[in-house]
Amino acid sequence: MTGEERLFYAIGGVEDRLLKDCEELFSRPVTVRRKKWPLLPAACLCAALAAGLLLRFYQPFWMENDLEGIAQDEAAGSACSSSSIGGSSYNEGDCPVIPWEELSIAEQYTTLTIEGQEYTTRRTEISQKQLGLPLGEEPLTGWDPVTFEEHSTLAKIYTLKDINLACGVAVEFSQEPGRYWVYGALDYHPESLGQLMENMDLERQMTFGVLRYEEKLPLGQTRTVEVECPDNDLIWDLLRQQADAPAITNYDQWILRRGGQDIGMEISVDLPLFGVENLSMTFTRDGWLTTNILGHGTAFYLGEIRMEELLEQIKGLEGSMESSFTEQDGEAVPSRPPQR
Amino acid sequence: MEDHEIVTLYWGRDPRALLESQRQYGGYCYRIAWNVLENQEDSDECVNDTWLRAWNAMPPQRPSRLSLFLGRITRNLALDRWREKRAERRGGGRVSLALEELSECVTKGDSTSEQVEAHQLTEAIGHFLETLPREDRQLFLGRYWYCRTIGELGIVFSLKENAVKTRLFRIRGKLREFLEKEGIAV
Repeated sequence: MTGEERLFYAIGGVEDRLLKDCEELFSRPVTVRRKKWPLLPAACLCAALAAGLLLRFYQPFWMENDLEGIAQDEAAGSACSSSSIGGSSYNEGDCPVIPWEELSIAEQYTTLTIEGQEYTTRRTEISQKQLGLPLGEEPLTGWDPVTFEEHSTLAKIYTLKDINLACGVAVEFSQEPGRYWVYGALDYHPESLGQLMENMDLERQMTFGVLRYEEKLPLGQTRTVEVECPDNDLIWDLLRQQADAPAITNYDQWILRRGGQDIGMEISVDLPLFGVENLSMTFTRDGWLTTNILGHGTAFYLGEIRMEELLEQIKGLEGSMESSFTEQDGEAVPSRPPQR
Repeated sequence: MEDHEIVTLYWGRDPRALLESQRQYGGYCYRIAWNVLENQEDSDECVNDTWLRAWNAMPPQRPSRLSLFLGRITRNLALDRWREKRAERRGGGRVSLALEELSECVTKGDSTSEQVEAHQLTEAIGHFLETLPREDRQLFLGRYWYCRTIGELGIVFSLKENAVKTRLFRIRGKLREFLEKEGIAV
């Protein structure tokens, strides 16, 4: 079992009193509003009535965040029929299974194989401007999550602009021409940090969020620093200098042998094109840069000396970043003044 | 029916205990299973297995809060099944994403420590959660106990998604520090 799986199981065992005030929050379905219903003409009273009846017995999948919608959904949920959405023996008002017809097409057809390379949906829609070269047509297969009925379709495949084919492709389904969806490679392993940065066009596609590290102070105190990184270019300038850092070949075995990481710094990252949010780049004191942005662990070896220099350089940027808070012995203290 | 009445049925080996559990907590347990497995058939099986496990657990157990007792069983069963089927899964499911995030909290402890027992780790996490403000605790458990997405948490707490992400990132950092300070190897 991995360390994170142990943590996940352990979290499940926390005492009831810690979960008590969560139960009410999370015991009901949370519906995310997808789109507003179009306004119906006043003359179409029958259609409006029919829509009202439909809403009473069928809970649509909304996308736009709307607290008012939650109250409406709670009212509608109590009227949900147990026969409206098939399969489960439980009250369908609580059943989150989304019927095939309500899934986006990228959620219906989740995997794609091109010449033995497997890609999986990132549920990200892109514009035509983000397409590269056409690669021809490929068949895709999907399965209804309720009935397990198999569905097949054809789609046009394109490379993604400035992204290596080994990392991802764009898919245009025959049912929805003019709409393009990102599918990411299931098993892409770069050889170096520079190759990862180039093949995934990370400097343009990835953004840094919060930077966090701990400093040891005299007398055994520690200072935890968290800052938000508004200027991604400064971090990329430093990472570009580490482009030749080689990637580890067998991450799973390596991380198991390590048992844990002596973290010098970590930065939260988003990679919206590939549906990645709130993952991290971790810089360990013994010289490794690790990340989980590819859907699996990857590590690049910089070496202890280079890592120490890199960490100092990034920390040196702290003054030019907007600071969130600095914690020393559990209490917030003023951060260093901005550098001129 | 109140929880203590249902528990009494279990203790009396009355099969109505299973019917009442299903009626009152079936949807709740199904949701917990589905958030992990994202598959109807597997979730149904997990919930059915939950009743069997509950039947075998009571007696001797007598939980005061049946929803959490049953939910915990379902969660563990779902996670076991998820791990079995992991090789067949594709894409970033809820559990995969949650585990990726939690990997940031894995610690090696001090040089002499060995991996702690599961119950000790649970106890330590409980102590950690007690140090958090209420909303942070709810956010953390919402993500890693109930397997809610960032979007869903944003709705529940009336926060923008970026704010949810930032707060979870901060809480995970604090958890790692806490485990390191306690010398706990995960």
